[in-house]
Amino acid sequence: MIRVLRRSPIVSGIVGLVVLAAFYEVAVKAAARLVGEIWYRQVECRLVDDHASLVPPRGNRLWGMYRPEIPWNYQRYYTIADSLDIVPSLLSWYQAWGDGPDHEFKTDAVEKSTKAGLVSMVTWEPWLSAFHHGAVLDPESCMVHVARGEFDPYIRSWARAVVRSREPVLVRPMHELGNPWYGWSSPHGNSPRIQIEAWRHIVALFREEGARNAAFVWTPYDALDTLAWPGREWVDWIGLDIFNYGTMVPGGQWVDFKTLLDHQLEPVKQFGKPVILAEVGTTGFGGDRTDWWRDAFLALGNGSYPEVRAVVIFDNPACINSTGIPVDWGFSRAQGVLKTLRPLLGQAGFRRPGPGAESFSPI
Amino acid sequence: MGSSDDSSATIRVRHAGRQREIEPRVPWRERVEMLLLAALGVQAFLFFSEYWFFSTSRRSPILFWLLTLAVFWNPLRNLYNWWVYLWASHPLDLRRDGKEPPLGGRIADVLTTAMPGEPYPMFEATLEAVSRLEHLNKAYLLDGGDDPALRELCERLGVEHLDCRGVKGAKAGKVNLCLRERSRAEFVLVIDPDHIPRPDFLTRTLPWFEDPETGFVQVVQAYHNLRENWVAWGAAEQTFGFYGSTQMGLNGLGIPTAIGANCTFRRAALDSIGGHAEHLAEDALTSMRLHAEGWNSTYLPWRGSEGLVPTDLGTYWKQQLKWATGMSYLMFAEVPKLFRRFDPVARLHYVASSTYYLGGVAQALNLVLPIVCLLFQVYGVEMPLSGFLVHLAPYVLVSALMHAIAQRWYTHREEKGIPWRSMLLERATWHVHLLGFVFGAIGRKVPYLPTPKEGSDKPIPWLVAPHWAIILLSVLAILWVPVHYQRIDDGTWLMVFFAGLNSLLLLPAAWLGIRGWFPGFPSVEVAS
Repeated sequence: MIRVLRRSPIVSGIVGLVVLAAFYEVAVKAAARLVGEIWYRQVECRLVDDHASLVPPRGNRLWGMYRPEIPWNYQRYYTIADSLDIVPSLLSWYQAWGDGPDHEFKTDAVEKSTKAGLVSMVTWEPWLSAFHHGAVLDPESCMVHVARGEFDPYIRSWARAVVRSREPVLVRPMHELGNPWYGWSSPHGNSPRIQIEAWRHIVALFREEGARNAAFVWTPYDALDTLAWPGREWVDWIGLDIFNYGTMVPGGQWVDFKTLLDHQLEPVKQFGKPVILAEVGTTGFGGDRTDWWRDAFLALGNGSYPEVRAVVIFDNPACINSTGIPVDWGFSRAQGVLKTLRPLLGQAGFRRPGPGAESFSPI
Repeated sequence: MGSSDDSSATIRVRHAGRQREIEPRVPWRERVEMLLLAALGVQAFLFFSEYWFFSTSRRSPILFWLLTLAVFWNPLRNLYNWWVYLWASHPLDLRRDGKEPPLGGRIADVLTTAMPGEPYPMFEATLEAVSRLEHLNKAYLLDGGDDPALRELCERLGVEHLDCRGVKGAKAGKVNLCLRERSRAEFVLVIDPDHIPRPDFLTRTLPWFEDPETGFVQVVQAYHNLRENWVAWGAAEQTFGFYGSTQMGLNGLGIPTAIGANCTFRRAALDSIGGHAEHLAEDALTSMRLHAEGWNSTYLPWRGSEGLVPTDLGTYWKQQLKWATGMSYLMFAEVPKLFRRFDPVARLHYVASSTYYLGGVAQALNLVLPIVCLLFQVYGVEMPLSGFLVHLAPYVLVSALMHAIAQRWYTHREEKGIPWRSMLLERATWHVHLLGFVFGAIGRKVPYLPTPKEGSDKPIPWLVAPHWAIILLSVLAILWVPVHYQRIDDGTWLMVFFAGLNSLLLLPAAWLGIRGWFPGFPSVEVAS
């Protein structure tokens, strides 16, 4: 054999290349994985900030916003915060599950927000039909597939990306558990038991990957969803989505913030977790926006909602709702709103700019 | 021949110190080290390739593949070079008894050519050395100008002067004329007039004709003027590796190639292919034909003569254009003809060596693509610069180590070191290689000019205009980014890096080309 190789330099060259390529494929890659794993566990996982630092001191609240241009552009957000004379703390954006580049954890966006002193809340929607490989097209009981571990590689890749971003992140999977618009909701056959299993599975994977900086926001839709409560040790924040549709739909009526909040908050108070109002918005149908918002922050300021530790305004002037009709959830366009709210926000526990403002900075 | 001033001048032979010369042998330990390092190099190459091809960073397919050609050209050629290095051998390494074969009374004729305009002192020095050669049968000067001064010089030194006015086919034509009409010896040494052979030149080469199938014996081509400036050093530096590891590797593979300047041929071998090939790349073609005819060759890593290397960019580029055109012409016209008659190793090697100047295309792409990508905001790849560098780093490290190890087989200690000059020069020669490749492809004739033996400091603005254009466009493209882009992302940073690096690497040669306009600036001398 050796003699043949020596006599024929080309054959030996080709054999050598094949052997080396095989070696690379097997040994080098295994070694690289091992080194990568050790590096990840011993270095990257240790650099993570625990998410517990996110909860502001008693009596204080974090201000956050969702806007269409977030997370790439903060210009408008800063302008609004200036008008309100508050320090912004949270950014909110939405991402669907899937295996394309748009479905990866937006590391660059989180890095950018970290530099700006903002914490990201990612509403992470398990649309299982968006995968090119292994998609689940039928929403009926689809969360079973998540609980069974079919999407583990994707979930783990997110967990690792979260770890690598180091700073605390609010992760909000499967939001509005009972909303029929969503494939993971109970009306699609995802029973509370399935939802609990899936939820625990996701959180467990993040914990296995060492993502101590991920705070999980569990978001019910109605009182029945308390049946899908995964347990104290599986949830970090409770999220509530508060919307006043007014008279937009036939038979609809103008409902004030306090009524909506009481209705949603009452069933989840028993769980004893900090509450984030993850989406808050009102239309202008059948009432006055400015009044609605003024009443909302007056209510938050009178001390009756100590559980609510963060508020994220849903500021989207052209949101398409389930009927396909564009709905104006705009918060900031009417100057009246900002002017009216400005004096109320300090009382409601939001941070004012100036000395001492950093005392409960989440980052 | 020359002006009367020349006759009083003398050729300065600046010896680099013979005691620091090396005649490298390859012990098995070095061979094993080389093998391990090459294996590591392949791993590093695969590591980078995997990142380049299989990360999710490809964008426009056309740009991606063009960029791939630009980026992978050098690594691929390096892989081939490493494979050649693995076979590196001194002829003694290949002999069972480890001893030099006996001379056996062999003697040789020595043929030198002259062209009008070449300096007289050069011939004086060379012919004097030639006439002192041991085992010399007869020396000939093949004079293309029939210069009376040279005729007189020949008479004085006992060299036969041959009037070669009007002989076609440049150097090879004259050699063939002499072989037909005068020279009768069994062996002939063809030596360039700027090469001063050592007295024992033939004593060292002729024994290796012991094997009746050996067609020619090649030795190192060394230079005595390389300390003149960095162009000279860089041009010489490009040959160190060739005469060290590459030719030694080819020796182990059985096909070291002939170099025009100082090759000793067996006459029967030349006769079998109808004489020395007459071509722009006559030495390469002669080698090819001899190997195709079944002749063997031997490479002796020993400095048998010292000659001149171009000392200014203009001359260097003229020489490179000649070689590039000649070699690419061979690739298109001659290699396919001879291909079936080569043995497998020769096939691989001659395809590899004749495609060398295709590198001009890769280089041009390397320079132009970043500009196009930045100005038009199009992407071939979008990978983070850090990722690109991290994945390329192992390969760069191994190839640097490989280079360092291959330097053991250089024939002089002064050749060792980081070859930054030759790297800069190679980069700066992209346009010439590109042009040579195109000329070869379309079969355009480039006149055969002997490489001028004297340098000049004249500005050559037209020859460095492409460099300045690339530099200015690259800088413009980089400045365009913060002005025009909404967001600077990974793909853009990578191209900014390429464009910036390209301009920096082209700058020295571009400056050198117009330095003559600024006489106040000192010239760049090689620190000795």
